[in-house]
Amino acid sequence: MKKFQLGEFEEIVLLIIGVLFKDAYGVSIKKAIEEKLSRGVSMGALHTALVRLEDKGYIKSYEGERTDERAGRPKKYFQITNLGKQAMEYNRDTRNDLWKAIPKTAFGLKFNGSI
Amino acid sequence: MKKNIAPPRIFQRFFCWFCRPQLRDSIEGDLLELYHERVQTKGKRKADLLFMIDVLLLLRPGIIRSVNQPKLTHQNQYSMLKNNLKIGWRNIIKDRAHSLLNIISLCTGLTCFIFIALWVSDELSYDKFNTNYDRIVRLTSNIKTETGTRSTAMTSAPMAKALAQDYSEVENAVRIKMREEIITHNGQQVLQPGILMTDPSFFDIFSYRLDRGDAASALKEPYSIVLTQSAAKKYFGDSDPMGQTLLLNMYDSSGTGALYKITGVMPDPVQNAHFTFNMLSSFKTIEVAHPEILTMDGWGDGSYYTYLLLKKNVDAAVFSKKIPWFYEKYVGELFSIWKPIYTYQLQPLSDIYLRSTVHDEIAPTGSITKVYVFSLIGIFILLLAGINYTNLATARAAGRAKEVSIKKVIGAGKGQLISQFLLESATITFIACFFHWRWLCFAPCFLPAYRKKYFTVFFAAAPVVPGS
Repeated sequence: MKKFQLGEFEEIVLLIIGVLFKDAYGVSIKKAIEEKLSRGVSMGALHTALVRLEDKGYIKSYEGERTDERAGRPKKYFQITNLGKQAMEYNRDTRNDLWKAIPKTAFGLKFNGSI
Repeated sequence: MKKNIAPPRIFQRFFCWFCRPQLRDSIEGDLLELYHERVQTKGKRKADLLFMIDVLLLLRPGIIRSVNQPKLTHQNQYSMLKNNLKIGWRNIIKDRAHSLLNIISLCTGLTCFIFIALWVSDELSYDKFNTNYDRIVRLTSNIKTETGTRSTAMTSAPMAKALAQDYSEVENAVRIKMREEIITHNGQQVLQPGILMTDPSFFDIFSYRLDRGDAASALKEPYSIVLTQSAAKKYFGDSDPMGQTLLLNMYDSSGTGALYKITGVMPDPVQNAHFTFNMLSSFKTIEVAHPEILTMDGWGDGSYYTYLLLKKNVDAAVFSKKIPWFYEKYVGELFSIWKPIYTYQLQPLSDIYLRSTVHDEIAPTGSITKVYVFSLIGIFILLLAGINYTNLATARAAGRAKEVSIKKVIGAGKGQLISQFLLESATITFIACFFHWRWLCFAPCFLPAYRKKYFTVFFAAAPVVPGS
């Protein structure tokens, strides 16, 4: 079942890229994660994840405009590939299946147990 | 955007250095964008700090470029190194006789060189343990008689005090006399060399200290004596020597010996000094036994050593020029009756051991010429060892030509071949160094032989007899 290898953080990055759609590049992804999930992200962690996602073929990148504040360095925009979409869907489906498989009483029991 | 606002340069360059080239531009752009934004919101200082943290957190496997960024193909330098080492070792093993010759000659050369270097550094270290090294001078005299002149390290007893009184340049003065006497202890008579008669100021001028007893008063009274550790052990074993007495046949009126009271114990003196001793005795003893040495007659009795401690910033050479007339001042009347003419000079402590030309030294001295000659020999031996090694390696080169050509055919570059042979040489040198290091463990056994001046006696045309 190692069809789609996708770590937790990688999945978040993928989702955020999807959310940002046309505007997904390093800084914007970082900000979006920090904002929406209220957790800090270092440049290092983010870029490693991006490199791995690109290696796996889940995202592809293209060079964007060169702005002044970036000292003439190009922005690198990311886009989800078809394979990436499949991986995301696969991930979501397995999660959903697992959620459904949990017996309804499990939470209740646990609740009782803790009292 | 202001020009002068830029992140810490060194970190930016560090990032560019370690980052994979494919990622470099975009990530650097991200970093800079974030940085400028932070400068606006959080201030430059905080932005700088965050930038540094970001760069450091980027230092991780996915981002760092591979170590040997290939130009054309991927090369594994580590395997090559291992292979070279293996081949080097096999070559050594293959031609054992040759390698052995090589290693032994290199090892011998290195050992000789190091021994000579040890000896030279030992010779140069003499008297340097004195904290007042550059301020201590010795008074030497020049005696002009009808038959010729003679320079001697010895001077007369009253001079030290007179010099200290008359010249403001002198901070302190000490007199020394070296003796060798018979000591009667427990019914046995022992000849004890190295008995140094000296003033209490000895401890102020030279950097010796006492383990037991008071340095200021230990040598004040006549017939008092300070033992070194080894002398104390020799005569008293483990019992406490302080306050006990020793019977010395020295400055006694009866002829059967005088009792000397032990007033102190000191550590054994360092060996690299131009004089060493086994015990110290008070100079006052001589003054009591022979009061005449302090009178006018005493000025002619040059059988003591006088050392002066000059005040700071006193130029010994300039001061030395003031001394010659000094003698005339005190013994002017007798001066005309006595035939010899005495003049005095100062000799810096740094010149005594290696550069002294005067007679009657307190102990055998070395010579700077010998130090130079030996240094030169040492350097030549090292050079010879190197040349010899090159020779042997060259002789073998023809045999290695086949190996080189095969390697070249396979595709080895010039640099690779050079590094292979360098590594091989390094291996041999390393082995030689190892054996040489084993040899050096014997050095402590040889050093005392140096110290006892076997060399000096052997090389000196006329062995210098210690002043008596």
